[in-house]
Amino acid sequence: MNVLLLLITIVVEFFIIWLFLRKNEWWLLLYAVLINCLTWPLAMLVFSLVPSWYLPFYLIIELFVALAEWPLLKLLTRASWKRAALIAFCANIVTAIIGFLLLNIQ
Amino acid sequence: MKSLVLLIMITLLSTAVFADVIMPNQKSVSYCFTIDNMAEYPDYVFIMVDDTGLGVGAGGSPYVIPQGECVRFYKFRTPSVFAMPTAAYNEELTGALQSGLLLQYTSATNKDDPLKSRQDILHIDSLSADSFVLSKKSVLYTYEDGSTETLPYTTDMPPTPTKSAWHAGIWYAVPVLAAIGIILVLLLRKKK
Repeated sequence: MNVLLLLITIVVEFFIIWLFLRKNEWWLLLYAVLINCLTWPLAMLVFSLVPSWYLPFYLIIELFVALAEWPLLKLLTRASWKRAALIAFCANIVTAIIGFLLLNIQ
Repeated sequence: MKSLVLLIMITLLSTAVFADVIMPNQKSVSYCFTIDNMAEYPDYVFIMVDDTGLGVGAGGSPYVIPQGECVRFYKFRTPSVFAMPTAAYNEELTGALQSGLLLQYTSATNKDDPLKSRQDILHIDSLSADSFVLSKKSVLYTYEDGSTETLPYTTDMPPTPTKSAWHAGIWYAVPVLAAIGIILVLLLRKKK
């Protein structure tokens, strides 16, 4: 399930990054893979430290993930800081919603 | 602005009910503890007390630990074990000796984790009229496939289960490799 969730996150974030930048698809896919492989397991690790499901905690973690992805997107895609922030937050809002729905229908 | 504040408040308050629910991609791992050499102290009673809230032996209500029982308690509590001579036993625990050991556990793990249950084995190192020393001796892990393993405590933290360690290791390696990948991309780009 973890691998599946990570793959879904990568695909969704790649699509959102591509929607904003629309260039070098393969590089954008590589960036999405690298960024999510860095942040996603760490976020899951933090989740695992919590003994039970708690929505505000989930949202806070997602916020930190977006904040961590912001400079990475800026550096890798060479987008402006503003645009990188927009991509990071849009991507993580969407993946947070998808993640929440998937985790709750299991 | 008011509606935003209201929305945040409703979210924070309403989701408090989730606090006792296991996260959907997780499963519960049962926990209990035993004291392996209680029989060596037949003149004493051993009592679990958790005055922090709900659960067995909680709320100031002492729970006398029966010989050989694997004792359970509520996951958010940190009870401790007291000892006192059987002849002097009273519910107020007047004169009881408290071990310095506080017990706690994590009740949930990832669904992919093969771990099913954890049993802490405690050991009475010494017990006299004015001192009670209880320590964590080992932990018995039981896996979903029915296999078990006993690992000794080397620190205050429980030893890592062998089967889970492999599983967790993969997820530690992924972000490290990703970080290396990002650095490589940036370095290669700089060279160009």
